[in-house]
Amino acid sequence: MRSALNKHNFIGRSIRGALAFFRESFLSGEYASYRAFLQSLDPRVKAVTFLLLCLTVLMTRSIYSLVFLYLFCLLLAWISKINLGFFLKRTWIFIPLFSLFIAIPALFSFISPGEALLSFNFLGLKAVITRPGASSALLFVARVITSVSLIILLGLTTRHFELLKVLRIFKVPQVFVMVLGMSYRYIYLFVEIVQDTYQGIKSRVGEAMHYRKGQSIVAWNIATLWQRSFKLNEDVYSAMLSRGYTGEPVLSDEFKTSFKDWAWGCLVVIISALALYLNHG
Amino acid sequence: MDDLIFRLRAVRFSYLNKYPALCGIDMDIAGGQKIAILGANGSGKSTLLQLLDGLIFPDAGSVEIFGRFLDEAALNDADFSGRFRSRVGLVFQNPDIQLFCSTVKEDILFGPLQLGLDRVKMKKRVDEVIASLGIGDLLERSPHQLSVGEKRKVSIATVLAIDPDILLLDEPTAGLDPQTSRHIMDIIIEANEKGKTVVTATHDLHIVEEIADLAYILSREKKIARSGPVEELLKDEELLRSNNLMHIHKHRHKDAVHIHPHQHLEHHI
Repeated sequence: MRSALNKHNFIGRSIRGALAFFRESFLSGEYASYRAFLQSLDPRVKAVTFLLLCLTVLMTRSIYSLVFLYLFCLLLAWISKINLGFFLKRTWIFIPLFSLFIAIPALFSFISPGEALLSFNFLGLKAVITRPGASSALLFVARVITSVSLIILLGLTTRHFELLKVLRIFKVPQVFVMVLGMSYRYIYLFVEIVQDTYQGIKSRVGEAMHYRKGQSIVAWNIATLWQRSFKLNEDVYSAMLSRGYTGEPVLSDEFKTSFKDWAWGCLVVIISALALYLNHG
Repeated sequence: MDDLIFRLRAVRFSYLNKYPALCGIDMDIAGGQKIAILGANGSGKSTLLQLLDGLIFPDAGSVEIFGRFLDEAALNDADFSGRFRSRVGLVFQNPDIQLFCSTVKEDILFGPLQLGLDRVKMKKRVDEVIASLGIGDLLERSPHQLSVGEKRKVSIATVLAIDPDILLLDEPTAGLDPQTSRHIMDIIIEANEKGKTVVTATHDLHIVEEIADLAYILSREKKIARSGPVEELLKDEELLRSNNLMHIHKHRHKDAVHIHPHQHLEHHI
């Protein structure tokens, strides 16, 4: 009976899962505070150059260029003191899994006709993997993994609030950037409230709880959390007014570029130009 | 009173027009004073501070600052509003409300930036505040990573960075360890010595004598039960007991049970 109840203890599992996600997110935020190469770059330059690298990856048709760009990304991760095991796990395990589901059908002759590379019988049907199919699937997976690696590397080596501030160079309104920053800040407060509430429930009713009862408690707590967030919203607005907010936020902008940023920018432009030149070579 | 800053007369306020929070408050606050607003939980201390900060407005009665009525119309005047916000700063009871930016540094800069303070003066002021509160190592951290004591210090820094003439503090030492509590008290005393008017809402009687010369006691009826010099009020045990600021304390000394009134004038160790 107890094991059946534990099996249905979706509250505990959900909360533990959510907390683990936030803990991981918090821990990965630690990488951004390291004193290493990418962390030392101006976030604006970093964001623009990574965007350029991603565009290059998307436009490159050469598998060799993609492999080079991926190795370049790993090199950047290494010199930025990112644990390569952690980085590879983060990029390879989850996201390419989905891209493989898209790429696998492209291997076969019914999607990509052409010269047969391999044929076999599957459930009485003849399946043919073609050379153009294999080539386009490989290209697709290489593009996805390189782009995802670049974006994850950018996220790991830049503090989240700096990434938000970077949005302003793309002319995103200040108020929008501020609201995003505040949402990010208060998620942690709400996670703590959820954690405390769960501990409170557990201390009174224990782990063994029928799932129907659990659902009812969760629904009630979602409503309470909503009320709390509404009250917090009002209070925070009062605190903003109290410090002179008039509806048009003024935010600090303390980014500074150095020679290193310009040198890095030039290197990325050269790499992108070479990769695109090889497309036509 | 020549240098009168706040003048409250017959102020009434209720939440949702149903739940009375203040019922006829008269109060005068002059420049440079150290004032404590004492009262049990739910006596209206926080509401009173929010009224003084122009965040809410009375249902009846009046609040005047520098001889001008403090109402919505006054705060809609951008010029008055800017001057008012530069001169009056409120430290909220809950630091999680006060610290809404992504980093401590952004939070400290928020007020000065909104009020359009001169950048050079702002930097100098902010550096001074950071040094005096000893929070230089917290600047790049997110508020959710701070301890309660650190949050409280940063909350005070966010207001001191504006360099207001009048400092309103809501339960500044609640829930803090003795050392941090002492540090916060020193900050309050230092601010007053530099000429700031300090109004502190608290029910911590052990800090009152140091942070205030004059006190207002709010009653359960949401009225001012009594006001006067702190020393005088703290001697009136009946007044403190009837307003839930003191209780009968029963504890054991060796083998004998000892009962006496307890005012929270000192921390028990």
